[in-house]
Amino acid sequence: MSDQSDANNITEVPGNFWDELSREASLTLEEQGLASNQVITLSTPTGQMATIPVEGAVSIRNLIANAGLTMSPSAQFVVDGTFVGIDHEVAPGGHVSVSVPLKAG
Amino acid sequence: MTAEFIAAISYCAVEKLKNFRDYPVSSRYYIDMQIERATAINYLVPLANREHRALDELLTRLRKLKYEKYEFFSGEYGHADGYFLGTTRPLIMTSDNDEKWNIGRYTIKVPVQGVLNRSLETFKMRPIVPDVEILHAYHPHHTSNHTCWSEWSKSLTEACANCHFDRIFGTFLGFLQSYYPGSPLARPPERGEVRDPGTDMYWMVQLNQEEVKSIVLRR
Repeated sequence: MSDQSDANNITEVPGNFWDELSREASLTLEEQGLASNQVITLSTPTGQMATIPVEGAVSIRNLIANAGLTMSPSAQFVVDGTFVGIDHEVAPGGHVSVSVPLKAG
Repeated sequence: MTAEFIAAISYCAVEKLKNFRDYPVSSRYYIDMQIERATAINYLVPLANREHRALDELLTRLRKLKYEKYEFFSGEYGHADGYFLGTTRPLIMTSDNDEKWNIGRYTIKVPVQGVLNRSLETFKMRPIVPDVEILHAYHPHHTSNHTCWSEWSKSLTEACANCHFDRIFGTFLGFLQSYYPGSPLARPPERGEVRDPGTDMYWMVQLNQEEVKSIVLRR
């Protein structure tokens, strides 16, 4: 596997225009008491992304309940490219894609 | 996965950050939108900076997916008109009434401009079979002139919006492995039906439960 050596061969890029964006983003999350390793993101069938604070690994069922979201009974969940059940546990920093299958398409 | 593939991911991250720079946050944004924007920027900046930790995390997520390899091919103008190419492992497609087909391996072509502009029509999924160029239907929901994205379009659009390449490639797996029999687009072969080589979805084989188990155990 050459991935590690490939990554190591890439030189650091000097500071750039995104430094200011990064400061702005960190401030926004700090004001909301959020850090990227303390949230799970969830993309909804309507194309929106919910950022949900968590204290540790949590099942999708509890994640939805804690966030006050409602979900179609036919909703499917994909984590890391794999369909999972609603009781699948997701770690902080993870992402859940929610899909509701249509009968035709 | 090559250094070129990683460099192209970093290129996309920089291009997305330019969008955030050019469309600054407004105080009228709802707080949820501000958080979504901030989360996206925090994800993209380490990739733009080519930080090893962020790249290793992304590469690990990509390795966990059912892909054999990932490549990047530069275009005439370098990364800007190049494309990512993922080669899946053999996949099983499942209908919503739990019928299953062995659909083999696919290549997934993801142009850089498709990601940056969220242009789903530029993405191509092709089975790895002979005579692929003469086929009309590559999948029940993907033909040479139409794709029924269903709800997958939302997941894919959102993944492209923030350059989440693991989600992009993961969404294609979800798409390819799902079949809704009500689809009017194309029909996979039924059990025992043999189609001539070179015809639509001739390589797909409907499986019984025992065959599904043996395939799953082999992997």
